[in-house]
Amino acid sequence: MINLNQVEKIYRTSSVETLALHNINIEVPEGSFLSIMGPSGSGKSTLLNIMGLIDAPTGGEVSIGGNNVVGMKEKEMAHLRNKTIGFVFQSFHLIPDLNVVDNVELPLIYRKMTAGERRRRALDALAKVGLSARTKHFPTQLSGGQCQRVAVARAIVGNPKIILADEPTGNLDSAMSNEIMEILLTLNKEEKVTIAIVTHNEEIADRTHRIIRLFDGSQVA
Amino acid sequence: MLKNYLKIALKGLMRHKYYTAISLFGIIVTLAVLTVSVAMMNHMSSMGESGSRLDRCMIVNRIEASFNRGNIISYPSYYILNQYVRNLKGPEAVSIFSEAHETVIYSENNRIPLKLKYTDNIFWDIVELPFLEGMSYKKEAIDRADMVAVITDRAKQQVFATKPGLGEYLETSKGTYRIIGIIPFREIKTMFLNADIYVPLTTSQGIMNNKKLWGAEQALVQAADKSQFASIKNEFQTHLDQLYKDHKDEYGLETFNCFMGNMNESIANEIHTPEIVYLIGVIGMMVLFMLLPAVNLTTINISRIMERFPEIGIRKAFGASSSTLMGQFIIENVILTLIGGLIAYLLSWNILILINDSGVVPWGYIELDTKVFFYSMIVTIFFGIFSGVLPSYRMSRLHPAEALKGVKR
Repeated sequence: MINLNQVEKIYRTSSVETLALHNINIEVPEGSFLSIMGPSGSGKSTLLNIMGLIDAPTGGEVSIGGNNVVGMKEKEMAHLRNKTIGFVFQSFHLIPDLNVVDNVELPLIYRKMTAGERRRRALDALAKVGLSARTKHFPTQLSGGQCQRVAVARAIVGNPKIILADEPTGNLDSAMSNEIMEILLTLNKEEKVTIAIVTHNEEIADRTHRIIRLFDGSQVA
Repeated sequence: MLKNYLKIALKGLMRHKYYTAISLFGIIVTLAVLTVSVAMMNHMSSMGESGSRLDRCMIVNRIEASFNRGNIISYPSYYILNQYVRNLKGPEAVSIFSEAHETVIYSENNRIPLKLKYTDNIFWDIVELPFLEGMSYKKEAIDRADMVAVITDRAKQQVFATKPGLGEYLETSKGTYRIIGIIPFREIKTMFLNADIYVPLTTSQGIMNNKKLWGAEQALVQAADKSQFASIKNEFQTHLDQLYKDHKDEYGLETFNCFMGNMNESIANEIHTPEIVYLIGVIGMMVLFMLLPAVNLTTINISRIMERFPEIGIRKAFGASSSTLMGQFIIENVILTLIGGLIAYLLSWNILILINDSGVVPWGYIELDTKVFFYSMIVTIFFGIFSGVLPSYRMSRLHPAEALKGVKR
């Protein structure tokens, strides 16, 4: 589903070059659940961003569902992201001025779809994460766990084949973390969604199919 | 998609009330000043509404003469207008009238300063002003120097309040006139026509007996068609040559010139600038005037967009392309400027009502017409697009990951 071949990422400023990723080769089969681990600054989030097409590698090849994305036009890439990938971020990244259901609808705004259909699908997604009673609330009126469930609903509303989650439980207590992991595991098991998560938590990583470990931008396991 | 854009744009504007208010304030003030200025300039520089007789007129309103003892720049006298303009063969009609003179009327112990203009009867044919009551004075009244007057409804209100004015006598510092007609002040839309009281030229001994070249009169020269202006000007030049010969020795004239043209040419002539340079100057000033707030608005927009980096990152991550977001921001700006433009137009309309009612600008009735509104709307849309393009372009260069981190580049 996702193939990374000799991927490299260098961050350049006027005076410093930082090697964030070096010679990364990963194949993520369809329907698999992958976790990425490593100390802070090892390149985990950068790797996930490159897999999700929200950052560009400096070198190497990335393909999603058989489509090589290197050299792909920005508009095509946006379309591929919209259709194929859903994101969950550690700090939720909900739009604070939109209510829960409007936040969840966000990916569907960029598809040809009626407002009624968008609303129906957003409510379905919220039902899946157990938040049907909070559709009109704003993010500031929700707990951390509820915010992350909204973020998961937003990630799944467009029925993506891939979900990428950057430390989705990083800001949550263990009970809430467990709830979010259960949702992700169910999606993977029942809907065959390919999932990659970044985590520091060994227990969470142990529940996934495969663990990739990074150290100083290189893949060590 | 457009409906979505509009919805997102309106939500975006409502969400960022502070920026929306500041941007709107800038747009409203700029456009209101611009719209009022355009209306005033239009009032000063226009001859008359398109298709009217005035639109086919040129004005003769300025002489420049140099003598062996010095120079003079002045309005021409009735004498030279009557001798050298009235007898032009090219025009369909020629009217001579004076500048508006200050006069005072006392009514029930109130001192009412008004403006009085001496005109001939042809003046009324050319200006085509509608009469609310009565009629204008005819050729016979001019020939007999009848002490009759046409006044505006505003002057009638000031002097007679609710009493009927027609047939009443008006004791002015220039003489006592019987009112035979009342015209609507609102219909006096050009500066050179403006007055409160209009009386026959021949009732002023000062004007009729002045045999000098200079005075305080003007002439309207009505052509059958604007294409005849050039030939009328040529004919006028031969009359001026004759005038020069006739009066060279009497005044010790070295040079003599008398202006004939439209109001734009008249203003350009007054500042000794070719008309095209004057027009380019006026347009240039207006463009500069529009550009400064547009740059300001662009800066506000850039700040607004910087603040929305995380939102841009989220939208990009979930499938919004740069062009989609650019469209969204530009539509947001166009909506903002259209709202601002509409408020500015209403504000300008009210400002002009206040100006007209207060009488602080003694030029007649200044009004916003559809042309001014149309130009204002074009300017408004230009503002919206211009101020949205640069920030949107900067935004489009961002990778979603950078935007999510709030990195600004």
